[in-house]
Amino acid sequence: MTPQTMFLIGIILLFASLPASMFGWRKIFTLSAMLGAGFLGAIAILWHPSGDGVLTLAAFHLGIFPVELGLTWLSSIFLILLSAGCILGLAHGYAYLNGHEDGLRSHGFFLALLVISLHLTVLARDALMLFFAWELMGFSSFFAILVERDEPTWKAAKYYLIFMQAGAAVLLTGIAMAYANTGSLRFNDWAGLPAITAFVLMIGFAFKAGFFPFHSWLPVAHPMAPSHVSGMMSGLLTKTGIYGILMILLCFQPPLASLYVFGAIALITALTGVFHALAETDIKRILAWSSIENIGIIGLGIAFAWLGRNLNVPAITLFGILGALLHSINHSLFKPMLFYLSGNVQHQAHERDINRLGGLQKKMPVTGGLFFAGSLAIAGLPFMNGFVSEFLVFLTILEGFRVHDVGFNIAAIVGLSGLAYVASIALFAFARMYGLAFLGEPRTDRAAHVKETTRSLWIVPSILAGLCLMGGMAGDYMLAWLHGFLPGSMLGSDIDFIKLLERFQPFRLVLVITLGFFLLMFLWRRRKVRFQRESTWGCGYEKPSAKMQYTGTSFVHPVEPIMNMFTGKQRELDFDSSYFPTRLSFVREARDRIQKRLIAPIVMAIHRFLDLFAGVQSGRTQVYITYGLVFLVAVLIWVIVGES
Amino acid sequence: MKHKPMTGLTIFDLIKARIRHGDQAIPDPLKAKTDQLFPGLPSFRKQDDASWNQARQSCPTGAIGENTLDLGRCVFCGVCQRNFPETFTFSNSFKMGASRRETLVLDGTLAPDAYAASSVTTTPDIRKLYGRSFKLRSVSAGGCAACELELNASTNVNFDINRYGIDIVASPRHADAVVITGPITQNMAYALEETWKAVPAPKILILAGACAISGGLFAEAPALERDFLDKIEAILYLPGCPVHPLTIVHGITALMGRKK
Amino acid sequence: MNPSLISVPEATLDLHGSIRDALGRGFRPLAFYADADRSLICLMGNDDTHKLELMRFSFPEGGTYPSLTELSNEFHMYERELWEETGLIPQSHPWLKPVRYPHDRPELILKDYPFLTAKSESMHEVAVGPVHAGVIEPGQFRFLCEGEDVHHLEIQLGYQHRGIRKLLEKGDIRGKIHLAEAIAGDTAIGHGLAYCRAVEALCGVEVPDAIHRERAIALEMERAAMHLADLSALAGDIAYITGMNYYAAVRTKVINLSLHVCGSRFGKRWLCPGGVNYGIGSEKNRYMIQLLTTIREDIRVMGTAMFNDSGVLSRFDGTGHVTADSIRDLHFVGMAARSGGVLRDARKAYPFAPYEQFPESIVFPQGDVYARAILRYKESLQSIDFCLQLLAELPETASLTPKLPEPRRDVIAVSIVEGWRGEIVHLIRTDKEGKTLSYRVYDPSFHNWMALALAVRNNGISDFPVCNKSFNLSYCGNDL
Repeated sequence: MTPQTMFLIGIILLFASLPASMFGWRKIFTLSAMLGAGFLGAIAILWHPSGDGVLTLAAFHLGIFPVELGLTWLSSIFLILLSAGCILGLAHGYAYLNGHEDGLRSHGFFLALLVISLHLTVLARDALMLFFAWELMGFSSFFAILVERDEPTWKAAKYYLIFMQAGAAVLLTGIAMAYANTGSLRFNDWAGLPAITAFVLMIGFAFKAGFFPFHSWLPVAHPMAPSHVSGMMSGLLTKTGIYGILMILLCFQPPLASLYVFGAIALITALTGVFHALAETDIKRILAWSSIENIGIIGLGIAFAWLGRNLNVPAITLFGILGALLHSINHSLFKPMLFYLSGNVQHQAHERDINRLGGLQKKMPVTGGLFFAGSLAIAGLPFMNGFVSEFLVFLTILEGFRVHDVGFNIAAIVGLSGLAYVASIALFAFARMYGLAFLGEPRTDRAAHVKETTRSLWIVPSILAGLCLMGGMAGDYMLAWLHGFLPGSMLGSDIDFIKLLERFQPFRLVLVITLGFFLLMFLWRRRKVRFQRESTWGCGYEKPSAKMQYTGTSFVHPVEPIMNMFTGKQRELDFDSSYFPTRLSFVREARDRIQKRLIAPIVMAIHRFLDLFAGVQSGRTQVYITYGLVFLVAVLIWVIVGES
Repeated sequence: MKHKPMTGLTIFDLIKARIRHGDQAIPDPLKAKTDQLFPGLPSFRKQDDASWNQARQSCPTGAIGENTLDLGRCVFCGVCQRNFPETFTFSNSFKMGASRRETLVLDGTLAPDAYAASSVTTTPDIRKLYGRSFKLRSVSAGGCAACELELNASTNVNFDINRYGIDIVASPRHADAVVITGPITQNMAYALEETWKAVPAPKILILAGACAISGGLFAEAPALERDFLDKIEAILYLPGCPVHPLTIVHGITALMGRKK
Repeated sequence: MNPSLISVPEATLDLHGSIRDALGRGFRPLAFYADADRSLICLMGNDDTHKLELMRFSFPEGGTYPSLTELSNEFHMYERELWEETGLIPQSHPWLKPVRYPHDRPELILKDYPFLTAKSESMHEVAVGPVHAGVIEPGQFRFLCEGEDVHHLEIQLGYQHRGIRKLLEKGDIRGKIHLAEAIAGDTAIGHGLAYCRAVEALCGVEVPDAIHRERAIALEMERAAMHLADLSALAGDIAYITGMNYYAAVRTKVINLSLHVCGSRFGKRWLCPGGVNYGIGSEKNRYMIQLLTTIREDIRVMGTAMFNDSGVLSRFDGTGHVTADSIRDLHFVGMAARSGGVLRDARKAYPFAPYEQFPESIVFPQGDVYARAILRYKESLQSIDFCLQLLAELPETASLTPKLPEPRRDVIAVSIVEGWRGEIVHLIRTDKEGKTLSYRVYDPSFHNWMALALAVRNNGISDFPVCNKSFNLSYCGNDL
């Protein structure tokens, strides 16, 4: 079988899922979409092009525009990431929406469209196809969010759509500029783009990736989407932005200063994300902000990789690009997993606020255990994959100290301390989220009456957790595999990377032994010891309440002064501080300052402008037919006037 | 800072204080001598029924029985001794702890040394479990807080009970034993039960002071609830009002089976 | 006069008028309660004129009356206690909550104490007690916290309630010295002396001057010993280990001196109504002077080091602040008042025999932990100085245990003693047959627990231990 046939089968299967979803054949729809994604992903695994070559899968003309679909080394990596993510996301979506059979046909349709658009984005070899896929992705994800048609979801979805369109507008501008510069829409002809054009394109991609200051759609849109969609959006959709940025970076020679700026933006993105994740109390919003943090870490890896390229230090380039790619892959594993699990929690408790949860580990041991594993991974702790990729980004920056360049050394110091800070706060944030939601006692009735979810909702998270563990224990194999994709221009000629990886073998041994020890301890405890079970020691007080536990807000109080620099201080204390107080209420909320001061006003302005046209929508068919008639007449007049 | 340090050389003042402090620890608490006036283990010889009954009447806690004196009730107020010095004498022996409640009911025949030699018994189990490390959780349940102060004092620089591997711990989860001081009030009954439950087995109970052992001065008080002691039997009784730190040191080390 | 024997006045109706009038004349309430004959009794004192006034009011009809706390917050604890004991409701009392859950009010459920709770999901509560981490008496502390900052602390007591007042009222009032000493074991002399003086007034016994002096020595030794114990604990809480061990050792010296005189480290069995059980002979006198002189120097040497140490000061300074206004408003007494710039010292306000010679009371204006710590340091020196002064002039005393005459009938005996925490007020009311009708005890802690609650507000929760130790309030003195 040739890659082209495989591609054809994949695309046909993907498109076949569209009508299947409309007929409400959920099994067929899910299966064909999963298979289609699988076929496309398999192409990248089996036939990924080596070096700077391109594997063309399909080429045709759409009117006067040539359209080409194909794979490079970069899009192969992202195609594997996306197709694997889509397969698991579709599977989980199937399980998640079980029981909501009705009214979800359109959701399935848009989900399938989202999967198609994700694949097309990385397969596109020309700007037209890319832009088409890009817009399709925006619209399909917009509709995929709208499962619940309530007011807040509707508002969030609209916010998201406006944001995506703004990003698309920037991208379109960039594409136009590139066309003007090179006279071609084919990426193969884009080598040597002028810097300004490349920057505009990168900004367009940055909207989707969620780089600061274009990040504010994530925490708005993700919580409102059903969790399989939020998982796919957070884990996969943002990665297309990363893909776009990497692709453009490969097309031109970025000036040194711009790379420092890019690095700074990445660091600010990571810090903003992690501090908001610390300040938030809504699980999904925490996860959304943590995505922003991870995008920042990926960005930091990319920035240092290209800095190394500019300064001719191949080791930095290699470590940086591998770190960024591996972290993208890892993030697309643990982030969807946590989103899926948060969906399980929401499904059971109808609540996502950690200040109202608590004690879930006892009630939902499997969900809790998997959530713990995901938290380990995302906090970058050993055993899990997050550690490997974050460690690689650290190594990248550390290498920077060997370079004799003061500016670069300063950047390395700032980057290293910043990244260390981000990593430690991330650990803090996820210890907080897991601890408050899953440990202790339930804070509300809702949290008290949860039950473990059905087994079907553990399957995909368990697979993801297994992948995360494998990625952590066998990170070096993963890196060697990724290394195989890279073209010569990316490989350091002065280091034998594969040999370098061998040095990590003893480390794995330590990990295996430790893990084995934990496992043995777990088994031994189960078998040998008889427990005397008593309630938590509460100083002998007769009537303890769930309020006597740390809240999400209290937990972060010690770091609040620093956190407030990023999140703003939103604190309302109502306390009659008399001798005999009878009233005490307190609210602490985190708000995104950038979103509130800068982005939200713009979005609102656009919204208000669009509202001017709301009158046009009457909902009556006759009126719409009239519009069509008016339009036809107008076109006719325009043609006639143009002719003469 | 509003109050500025007056000199910059406070370290020398501190060294001076440290030198003045010297060595305050009692070298061997078990061989320590107490003050002449310290009312330790009493002895008595019944002279005649009239004076005995008078002494019985004057005893604030009814510690004096037909022919006996109950150390578990005695508050060492000295009324009997002052009124009837012929009949009652208090020795200086602080070694008054006992493993059994009955031991505390004296018949007046036992000399202090003989009493101290046999009153606290240990078992191989206790010696094995707690012989080298013994963690106590204190529950203050009524009373006047004097026993609590003396329990604290037993850990201070003078008596330094920690030298024997004995420690008073913050959480019952870390404890081997519960020490009750006070007569156990109604309002404390629940908390005491909870604390006992919170201590992991194996666990033992120690009663310190007359109030805990018998209710002491408060035996007749209307707000007591001593049911807990019906369920759990103590393994060490430390008499006194308040119990002297040396009595605590002796009783607990003897229970641990430490070599003298 | 202190102690006073007051014949029971006629009950009047004008509760508010009389009390407003007395407050206007500079009096403050020393006791306010419902007597066993269902009349309200209010003891007011004027610190400046050294006058005491006892008022008696008929029991309000209908189970309610307008709250006196509206008039002055000084009454808030008394009215809570009154409501708890009799069910009489002071209307518009801002905080009508139980004080000690007494055994004879089973309808008050201990676990249902109406704590203030925060209407907030982001605030957490810290509940501590009744079984605390140290070897301390039981009480429930409820902190309302924003992270590590305390906005509000509420203290619920009653765990130590054993009904000691019922025991004091039962039987012959003259034989209750052991119980009186056990009202609060750390203030055995203070409460014992208050009892002895009240009973002596009640029975009309004059005590020789030398005995008064010996009792003052006992009282001041207790003050010094407890101040040293708390200085030791304060030093321990801030990890100033030398200070902790040093002061603990010095305290041992002081209480062992008490053991040397009376056979009890806490001065239990030293006093008896009408006299003392143990006198101070010339040999003991000499020994005491010698030892107290060394102890005085001991205290001074460590104090010089400790209160100049920037580490110590940085922890004490400004921590647990109580304002002078709140001290006056809420009737905080004794040491807690004197460390906040308010002179309240029963030794000077309602003096008795040797205290005419007592020097000026020590007052610090700051009201923080520093002030309370250094006040303890200075007062312990002052107390030992006063002991030395008294010992130097003390004639040889011997045991004096007279048989007391029958108590007077239908009178109220009042005695006020400045214990180491503050003023201790005992009132004994006899009925027409000379039997004890009621025995009221007011430990300074009864008022000062509120001071601790206020001190902790807006402090870090980690500062609570030093705040707590700086007051070292009595649970059993409150719970009775």
